[in-house]
Amino acid sequence: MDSNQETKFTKNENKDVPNQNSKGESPSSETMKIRKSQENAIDETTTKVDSVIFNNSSVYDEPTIIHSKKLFNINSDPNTPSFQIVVSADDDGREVDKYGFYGGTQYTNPSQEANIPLEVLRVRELKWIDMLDDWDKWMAKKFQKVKERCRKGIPSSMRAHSWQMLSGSAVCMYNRPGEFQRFLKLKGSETCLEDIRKDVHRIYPHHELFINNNGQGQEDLFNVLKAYSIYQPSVGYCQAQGPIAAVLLTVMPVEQAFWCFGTICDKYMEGYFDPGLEAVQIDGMVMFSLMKKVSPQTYRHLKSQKVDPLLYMTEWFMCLFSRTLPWPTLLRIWDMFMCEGIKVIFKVALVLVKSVLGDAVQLKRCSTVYDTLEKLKKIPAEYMQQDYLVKEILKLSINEKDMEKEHEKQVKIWKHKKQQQQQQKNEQHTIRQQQLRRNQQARNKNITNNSSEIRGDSTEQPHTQKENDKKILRNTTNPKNIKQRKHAKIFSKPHVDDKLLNNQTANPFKNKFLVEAGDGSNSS
Amino acid sequence: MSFQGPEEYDYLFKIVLIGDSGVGKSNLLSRFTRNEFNLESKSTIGVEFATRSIVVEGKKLKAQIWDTAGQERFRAITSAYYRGAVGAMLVYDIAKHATFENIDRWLKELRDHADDNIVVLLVGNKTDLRHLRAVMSEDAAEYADRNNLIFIETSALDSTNVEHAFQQCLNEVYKRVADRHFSNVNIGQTTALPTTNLQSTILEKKFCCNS
Repeated sequence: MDSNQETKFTKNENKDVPNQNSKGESPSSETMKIRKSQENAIDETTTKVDSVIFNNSSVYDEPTIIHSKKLFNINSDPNTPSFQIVVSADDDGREVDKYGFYGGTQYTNPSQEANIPLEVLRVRELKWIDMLDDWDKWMAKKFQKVKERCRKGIPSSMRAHSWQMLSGSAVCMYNRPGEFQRFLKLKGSETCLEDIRKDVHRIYPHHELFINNNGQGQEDLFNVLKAYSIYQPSVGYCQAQGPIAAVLLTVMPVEQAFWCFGTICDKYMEGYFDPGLEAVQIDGMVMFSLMKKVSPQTYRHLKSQKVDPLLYMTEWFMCLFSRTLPWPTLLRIWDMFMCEGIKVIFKVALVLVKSVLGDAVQLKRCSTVYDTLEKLKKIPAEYMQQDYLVKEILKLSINEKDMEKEHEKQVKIWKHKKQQQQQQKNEQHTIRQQQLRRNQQARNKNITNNSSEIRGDSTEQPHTQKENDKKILRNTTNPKNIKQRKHAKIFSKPHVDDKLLNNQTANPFKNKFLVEAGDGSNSS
Repeated sequence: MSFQGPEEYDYLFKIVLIGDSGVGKSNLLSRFTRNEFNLESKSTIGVEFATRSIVVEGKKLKAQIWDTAGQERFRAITSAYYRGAVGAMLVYDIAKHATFENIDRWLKELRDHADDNIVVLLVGNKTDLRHLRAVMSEDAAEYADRNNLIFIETSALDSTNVEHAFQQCLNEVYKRVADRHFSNVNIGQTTALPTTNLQSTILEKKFCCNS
């Protein structure tokens, strides 16, 4: 074993454990195995790895440090075939899976793979080749068929092309040659860039593409996110965008990934990453409300415990399940998402919630909010298998109209709530100001009898309040701003967007129409 | 593991971890609850949580620790996280001065959303990066003193003080709760709704069985 890589030291556990410690809760192991953390501690030229500790270790007594990127010190070229990487691992070490993962929660065991017969795959490929050849016609006249085929899963060899056509990003890229490269030459906001820099190494650190610091994969990821933050400065960079861009990069080259990413952020997930995160909050309410129809008793349970949907759906929605679902399932869901829009994400969420909290026995085990949330955070693998999930999605008792109606309703409620909050804030502010004024007057009376000071104070008051109100207004999202920003979009397809621009908040259910109405005429 | 399955406890305390993105909140949580550390821990989107129980003065305290997203824009949705929290760990990175400068804004977040009596710890994390230190302990200690915070420096990577920090937080929460048992009237007088909520959160959970 290379002594540079592995050091052992003894740590006195009592150093920071007070006497009143619970039995068996503190680390009992005196000796801790630790890999040196400092960047320069590892010999950069080493390609052979001695031991690997993966994230799923549950043995409390053995402290682990996981540093996969450093462990797999591989060539920076992402095209390096995985079999060239020599990995001799601990009991947990694994070979790279079909999708490029070395480990982590989204690693796919070959045994978990859905086995589609080769002949079936070949037939599907031919069908997709046929569709992509005459895309306009298919989108205009046989959209139902396209949707059906997306639901069955797009063959992996066709995925990159299909996603670009379905999202309309192929057209965007075609219409704007050199734009991506131009964005990269610009400087960009330093705050955004720093946030991105902080993240690129920890977005899918178990994936061969992103495992290496300074590798091509991380560079591409940085570039996609940077370019987007320049192209949409009002959105900038949101941490939830990282995994989405990364998934796209595992499927298509960087420029294509950028345009596809832009389309997803701007059209499919409009408003999701804006600083106020309003669209996410509204969609949380929509999802919760839809639960009433999908599983009334689950809805009642969540309502009685006052479980805020934001506590479990934020990551699901904002990352489009890219950090939750097993990879084969994720790709299949994204196949559907590219075709049908964010509605698919709603359906997945509803199925998952129903699966873990759908019957009385399950609900009985969740006596506290925490139990409920734990169930929602740790969804058993069986519920995330693609066949189960897609079957359940298609069985759901809600249709698109229900979803659209619910969305409209929640937007109204949201606006009303915002207004009330604003009013409350103003009232509280006034009360505070009055209180302050009274105190001040009392102080002034006590200290000095100079009445001019009191007068001065009271004339100043309205001014301060006005200032403060302005500040509040600035802090809350102004619909006018949203509207302006929407106009500025370069991804927009004019004849569809005019209608959409009138909505002040993002409508998650519009995408089907976007695809249906937009792509047919736009693709060339 | 003792914190799996049915578990009895005397008190359930909700602790929130807040601070800028990348200061090590998630690793403090995983170090304390699972004794794990991950150099590439993914950024937190939304909220994560874990629990661990400790015994203080013969009482079993179950700490329910909520780890929140650090990026600025997620503050728009963090108000739900603060509900019912009795302790907060305000984390900064000793090697990045900007994360310390932002402590003020996080304190304001707490004042806006959390209970007035919440126990707040100022935690300078990543002490293992001593050669890169950018925030002096004395400065942080002075800041903590000025703002009535408990100050501690930790390293989730090499475990230094992690246990101690959480223990101290829980001890202090327990002390405040115990005090309130004897001075309920006073509490009712000084503050309005939030305290009542907090008080009931703690009391309701008392002698609960998590089945």
